[in-house]
Amino acid sequence: MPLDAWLLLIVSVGLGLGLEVAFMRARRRDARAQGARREAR
Amino acid sequence: MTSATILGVVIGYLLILLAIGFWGGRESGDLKGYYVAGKKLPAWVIAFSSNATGESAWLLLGLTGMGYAIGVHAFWIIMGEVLGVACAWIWVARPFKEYTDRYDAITVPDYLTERFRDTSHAFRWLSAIIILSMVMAYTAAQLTASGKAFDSFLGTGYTQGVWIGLGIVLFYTTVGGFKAVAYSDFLQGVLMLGCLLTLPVVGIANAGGWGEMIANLRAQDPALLEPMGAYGLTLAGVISAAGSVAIGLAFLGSPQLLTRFMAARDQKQIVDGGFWAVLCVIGFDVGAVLGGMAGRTLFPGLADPETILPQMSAAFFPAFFTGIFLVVVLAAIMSTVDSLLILASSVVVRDVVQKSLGSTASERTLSMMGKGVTVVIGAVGLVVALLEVRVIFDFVLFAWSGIACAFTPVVLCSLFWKGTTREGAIAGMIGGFATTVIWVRVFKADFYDLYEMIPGFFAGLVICIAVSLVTKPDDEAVAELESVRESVGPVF
Repeated sequence: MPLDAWLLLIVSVGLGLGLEVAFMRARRRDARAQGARREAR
Repeated sequence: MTSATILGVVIGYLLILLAIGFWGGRESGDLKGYYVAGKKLPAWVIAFSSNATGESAWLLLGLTGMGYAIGVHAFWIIMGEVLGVACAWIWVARPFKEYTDRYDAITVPDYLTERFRDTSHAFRWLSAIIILSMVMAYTAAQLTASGKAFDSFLGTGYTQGVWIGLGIVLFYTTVGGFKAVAYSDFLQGVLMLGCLLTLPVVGIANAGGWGEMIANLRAQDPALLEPMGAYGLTLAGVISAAGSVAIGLAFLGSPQLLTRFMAARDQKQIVDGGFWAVLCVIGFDVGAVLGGMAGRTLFPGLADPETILPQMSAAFFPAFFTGIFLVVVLAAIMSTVDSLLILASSVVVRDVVQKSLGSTASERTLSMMGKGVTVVIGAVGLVVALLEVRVIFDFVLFAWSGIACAFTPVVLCSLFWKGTTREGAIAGMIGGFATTVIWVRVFKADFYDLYEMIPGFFAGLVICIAVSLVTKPDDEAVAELESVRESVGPVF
């Protein structure tokens, strides 16, 4: 398959998936921070 | 022997659906139970259920057909759908869930009415008109597909196929309510995913491997491997790609999908469910397009590209799996019909009878009424499907985008812009819906077939913002939006 077709496929899948992964990591980071705050109290 | 095996698989599947209906029945004694499963659904159910509802038989027959007909150009649809699902779960789902829990809302018009402090019931009546007209047409089209599927795989005859399809859906929808709908959608979504992951693997293997398939496609038509397809980098090509990406806009605000977020047990289910939903839609779309491309190398020159999935299932799979493929087509049809029926029923009973007309009937009576309305709407769809009413079928052309353009711009403004007013939201709903209808009827053919979702969505958005700018938002609603934002927290 030509390079531009591969690029389109990777971007098509990667944009949405990348956003979702970044979102999940942010939520986990927040959950950890909240846990640490609770322990500190 | 072969048809007995296929029949056995289909009957087994239908029995499972009936069992889910009985099982869900325990939850459907009141309106909240019947229409949003008591707001107790876990992440994995809402993830698969929303995707199975969002994709009708179009995914299995239409998108595989597009992979067959236009090849790599169909990747733009993958981009639109994956982005649409991801954005819906990341940005829309959590504030929407927060608002609807605060209001104890069980329908989207419930949410809009409370959000804009509307005492005139304008949102409820408007939503009822838009949803009922579109749902009946769309249901009729899906029942037509059910009749054709039963007839072509099992030779039941078209009329009997329509009756069987509707009978099963009506049973588990009325008896089991939204809980049965959501769990059957989960099962149907898993089946669809399994089928669409298997199809390209078997297809590419039979085509002689990836390299052989690509070489074959290049020999047939080099444009099949071009991102801009046969159009090249022209205005028509850009419009076609943009229309494909725009399909994903519907995931951001269509009521049949928003209901899943309302029905989630809590915010955590939404955070967890998003990842599964995105993986699921990637599997659906990539599998469908690559399956279609593999099919093109194996069955070149099909008169109707949308028959590629049945062709491949019959040629490369044993009878048991052919039965599974029929079940998957039925699953795609039923998972859309059940959700539309229960959506339409909720609008009639909750928004019109209970809230607008002020019925004081008990929750149990209203729940029974909801089941009756579900049957009536299904019956209307049945009559239309059997008579094949031409005018109604024209509505199907824009049923998906019509509902989406009426609700999505307004829902997005209501969640993210505190300047949105009641008047702006009503004008946006009417404008988005009307633009979609007018675009299809008058302008579409003269504008490179630009998909109606683009003008419909942007007209709804612009009208909602413009009217809101010249009217005053409710102070309490503005403060509430700030409070919801604080509760939900930042996205990243």
